[in-house]
Amino acid sequence: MAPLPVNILCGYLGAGKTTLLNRLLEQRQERILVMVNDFGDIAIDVSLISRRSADTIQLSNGCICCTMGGGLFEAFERALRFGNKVDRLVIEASGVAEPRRLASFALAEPDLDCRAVVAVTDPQTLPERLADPRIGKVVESQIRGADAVFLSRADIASRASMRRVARLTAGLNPLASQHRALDGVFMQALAAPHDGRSLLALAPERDHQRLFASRTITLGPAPERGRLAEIIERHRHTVHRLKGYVRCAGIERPLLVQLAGGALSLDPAALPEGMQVNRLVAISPDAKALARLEADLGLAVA
Amino acid sequence: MIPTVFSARRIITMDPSRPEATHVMVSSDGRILAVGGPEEMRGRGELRYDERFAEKVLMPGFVEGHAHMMEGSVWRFTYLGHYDRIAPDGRLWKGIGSTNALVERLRDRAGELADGPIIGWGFDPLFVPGDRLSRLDLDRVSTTRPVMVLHSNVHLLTANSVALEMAGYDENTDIPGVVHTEDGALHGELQEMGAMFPVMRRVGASFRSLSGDPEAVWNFARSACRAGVTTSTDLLNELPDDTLADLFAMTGDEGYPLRLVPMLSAMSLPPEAVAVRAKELRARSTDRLRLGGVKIVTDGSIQGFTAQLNAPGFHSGIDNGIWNIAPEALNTLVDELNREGVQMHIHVNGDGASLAAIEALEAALSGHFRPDHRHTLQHCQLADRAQLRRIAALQCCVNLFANHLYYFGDKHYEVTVGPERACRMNPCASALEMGIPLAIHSDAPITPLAPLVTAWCAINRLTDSGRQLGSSERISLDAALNAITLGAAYTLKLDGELGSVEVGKRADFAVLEDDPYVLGPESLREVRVWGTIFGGKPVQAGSF
Repeated sequence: MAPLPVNILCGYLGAGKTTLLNRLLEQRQERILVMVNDFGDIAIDVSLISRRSADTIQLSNGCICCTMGGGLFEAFERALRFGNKVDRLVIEASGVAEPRRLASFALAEPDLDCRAVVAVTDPQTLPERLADPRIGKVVESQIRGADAVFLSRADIASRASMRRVARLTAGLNPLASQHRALDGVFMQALAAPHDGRSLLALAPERDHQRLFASRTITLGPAPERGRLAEIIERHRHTVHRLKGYVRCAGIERPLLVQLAGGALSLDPAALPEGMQVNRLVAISPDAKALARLEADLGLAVA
Repeated sequence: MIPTVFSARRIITMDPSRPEATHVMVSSDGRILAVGGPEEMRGRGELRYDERFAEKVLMPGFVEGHAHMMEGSVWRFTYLGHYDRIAPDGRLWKGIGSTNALVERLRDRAGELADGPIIGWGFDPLFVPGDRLSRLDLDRVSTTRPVMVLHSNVHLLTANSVALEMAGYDENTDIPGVVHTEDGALHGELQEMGAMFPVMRRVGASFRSLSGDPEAVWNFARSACRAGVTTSTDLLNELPDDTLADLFAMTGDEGYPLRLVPMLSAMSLPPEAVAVRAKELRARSTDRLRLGGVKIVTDGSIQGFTAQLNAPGFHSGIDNGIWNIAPEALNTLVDELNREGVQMHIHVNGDGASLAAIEALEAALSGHFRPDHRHTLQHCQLADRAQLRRIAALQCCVNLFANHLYYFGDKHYEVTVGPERACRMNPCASALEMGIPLAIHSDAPITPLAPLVTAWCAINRLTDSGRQLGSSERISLDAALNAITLGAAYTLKLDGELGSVEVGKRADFAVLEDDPYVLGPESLREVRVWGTIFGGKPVQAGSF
């Protein structure tokens, strides 16, 4: 039996997780099993979830040593018993859950296949949440641990707040893709594997589990596209991830340069507001490989 | 039915209007009819005299205000902790001091048990010198059966090669929490739940199997009886209907000698359903199954670095503070439960968590003041005097984790919170000084279920190494004994019914071989327990 793909939706109370989940369920493209990791959230959370296209497992949150409850273990055991009756497991994490803890289950369990972790944020309240001494750290960890950031309420949030939040989240997590709509690009991001190693490399605090290094490389103005691609290709086997927006010589639109899973892409893309151009974030298990990449890029395209 | 008169060397009543007695008369349905001397056992016609405790000391049955049913189930695994410990069946398990001793014990157990996994619990590598326990050590236990050692903090485990292979782990595994040695081979240690899950699931040691099956419920009563406990909480239970039916059946058994007080987990239901369920449960309480209270868990633990600490945070180590409920959601839940008249027990370890709970209670009680609400802050280990003043103003109770002072005190002093806060944690004297109703607890199986030991901890505040943590927070023998009887009963709203030896109350007693006042406060933990009298019927430890 193929392992069950898992997506995790995290984000603080009121960020829009349930709305996003419902819209995913409404698409009815697959049989989705939903795990709701909390009742402590807002009162309406569970009743909001449409039950038409999904089975729902409800579990209480908690750290075993602290609550003596086996909620999380039991919920994963129940999810696994569904076997091939479902195509995907979507976990709506509690508002105070750190995605890393949940993702570690899906990463370690051979019968699960950990796909993208999505941080859902409300542009209108995010700055305030991040500044809150009680929960700022949790909200930050949710963004730092995500492969994709979904900015909700794009239709009603002001342009200024969208810009501010796009910049804030890109600053915290330059690797994550940003989304404002449940479109094809978002569905593609959802299907991509979770890249916990790379995300961990960006974590600000020292962590003994960190095995990857990261490096931010600033390019000179207007590098030449072919040359840039060629150099990155050369480092494809030693650099695990690379991402950034680059303005190349003779090309009008900026290019989104991405190296993931050994595949390099340079696609024209709208530069997210507040995003700095010609700056690449690179991740590798080998810090020296990153230095070599920087040296090559610096010599060639500076 | 003829009442029975028990005589004793001394009866410590915990009733200030008659602190001591030598005789107590109990009815056949388990109520106290008279307390006093031999002359005061009259006026009820024919009496039966039971002299078997004439040389022993009686106290009100002890009340454990914070323990877990897991104390009854975890013993199906093999104990590997640092401290000596007695299992519900009375077997003494010596503390483990070396890897060799650990391997030997597991090997012995492998022989005792039929085929299948060999699982240990309670292991603490900090107390075992030498290299960290590894897969290779456990391969010496068995190379054909899975062997798994759960560490005492429950965030780590060590597995043997068979168990690792069952989970599909090998030298190529690149997963956070799966530890490798320097040469790239699997070490055997697995860190955090995610990495532990695949092994536990396949070995058959899930936490689900540690919930309250019949054997666990009986074992819990066995452990309680050994400690003189006649009423104990099970402080976090989702209480689904099937569990509830089991609990009614088992506690309904004539011979079941424990009043069980399970607390409904507030996280097991949508917030608006919690109060409804709690009230429905309250109406179904029996004399031995007391329902209606609700438990809310806010943060993690101090020793696990998952507590929520205010600045300056942890003394050393990495702060992994977690919320099990968002502070805003806590406000909503506390307000809802308070408005509905449901009593709450709120788990708060760090001072950040106790502050969040205090703020939630202040808001809730400002909107709807309920006289005699008895909302209780559980653990509340790091509340400072400013927080205690606010707790006093709210008329809340505290149930402090006095056992931490002994079992984790050195760690707190040196590592987690540092000397100053370690010397004021679990501030029993300050709480009493401010008039806050006080209970103290073991959180069994985190530490052993033994209220006299808990009282000893609160009195002496000595760590395992003999360091005294804050002499000014010590309390008297009287106060400590109150905290494990009437004080704990008060936090459960059972003080009108038990917790002291008074006419009309339940005939529940702890039967002691030694007199706490003769042995004195320094030696309180050496007091030997014969067993209990439960509802008027003597129950010797180890007899069931």
